[in-house]
Amino acid sequence: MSASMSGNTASSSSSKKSLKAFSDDIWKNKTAKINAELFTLTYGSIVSQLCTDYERDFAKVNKQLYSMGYNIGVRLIEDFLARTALPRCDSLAKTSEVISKCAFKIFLNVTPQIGNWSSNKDSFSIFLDENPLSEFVELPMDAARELWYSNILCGVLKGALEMVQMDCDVYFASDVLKGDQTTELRVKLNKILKDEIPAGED
Amino acid sequence: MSQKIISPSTSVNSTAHPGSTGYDYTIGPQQTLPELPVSSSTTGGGIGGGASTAVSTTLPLPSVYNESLNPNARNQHVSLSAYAFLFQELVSQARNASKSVSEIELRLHRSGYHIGIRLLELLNFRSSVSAGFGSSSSSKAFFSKTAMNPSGNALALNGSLSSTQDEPSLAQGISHMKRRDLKPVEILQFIHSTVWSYLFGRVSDDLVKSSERENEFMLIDSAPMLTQFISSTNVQCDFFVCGIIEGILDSASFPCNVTVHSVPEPNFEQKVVFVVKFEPQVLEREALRA
Repeated sequence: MSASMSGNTASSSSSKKSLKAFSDDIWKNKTAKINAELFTLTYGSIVSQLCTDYERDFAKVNKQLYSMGYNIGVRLIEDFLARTALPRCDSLAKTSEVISKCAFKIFLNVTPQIGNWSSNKDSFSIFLDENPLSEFVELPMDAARELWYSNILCGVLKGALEMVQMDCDVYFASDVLKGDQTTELRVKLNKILKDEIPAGED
Repeated sequence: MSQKIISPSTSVNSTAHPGSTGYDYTIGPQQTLPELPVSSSTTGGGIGGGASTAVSTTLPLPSVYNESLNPNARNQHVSLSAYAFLFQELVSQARNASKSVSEIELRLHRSGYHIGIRLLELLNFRSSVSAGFGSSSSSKAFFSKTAMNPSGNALALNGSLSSTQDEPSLAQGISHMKRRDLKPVEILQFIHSTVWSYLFGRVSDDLVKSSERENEFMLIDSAPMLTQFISSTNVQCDFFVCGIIEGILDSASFPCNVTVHSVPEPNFEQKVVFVVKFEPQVLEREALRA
């Protein structure tokens, strides 16, 4: 069932970081794959359908994409933890590293850059050099002003982080589809949700 | 919006009407991204650069066509679970917006249809790019080779196209476009093999012609990839794939109706059959060809 490995362009550079090697291994050997373009096209189909449904009210489309992403995120974290069996991250820096090197890698096969830390280390940015969602995409003029095309990613991160007791704000700061230089996703940690751990679990 | 509709000169400055949208035949293909950093451009010319300002931006914005039409695209896979999550949201979106089961299926079908009409073009285009025209280094080699040996009219066309691009255009890798499929069986085989391999990494399990009806064909998939995690049979989510098939066939001028039927078998409980029912005019056209 799993797709063939040919054409997988995982970098063969010396993997100094163990987390990177770890994720590469999961991606290569333990992940069923599907054509990334089918993924891109399906997402495009969803977004364009939403734009039609909401009569090009892009604020509503953004919101809907976000809530779809949230629904995915709260489930996806289960899948992620089952695959990786990673322990709890002890700092936000560690969390950011796991998100970029592990989560993005094993789900979307990209490794975005992390940067732009705030001075008190409670927020950071994810720079998506490659975005499998927005391949083939050029936004029409009206959409380019308001639509955050890949807003579903924000919802996914929000939902997934919330399930590991991290209450975060996740939003796009810029997008190359809007003519910006980079695609920047901002993650801001509000608080750790301590109370929501079910009794009897650590 | 001071959009000039008719412009007598082809040398019109493309920045003269920044509010314009869409294709302007007096200028030809151009970048349509809004407020592309013309204002923040560090090039000396500033706004007066004419057509070149569209290209000489501060960051080398890759053309959506040049990059993604390349048959050897960089990143070929995402995880199936990421797709399954997305597909699940597609289905629930369709469900929330619908009142009946058939409406859900119609919406899924429509989503797939839009993919199908794009896929036909994309796959045909890619298979027309000659082998070896892939990474930028090999494409440069290809370019220099053809430049040394100028033959055929394709080169003249390509030369003019590539003059505005820094890297050689993908068009140089195409000597002639792939012939279109003209017979129903040919286009169905294209779906059975090329499309299925592209989408699901394998050919479909069978392609059969109906023995009862002249205009019916069946594509069989024993283990549908997209719906393998969906257990409910109330809504047939494979209508999404129906839409893809119908989109391809429609844009290839084979108007038809595609439906899907679940045919569980002991070893393949999720086996589905896609029934392609061509419109009568397709058969009439076939009769004329014979």
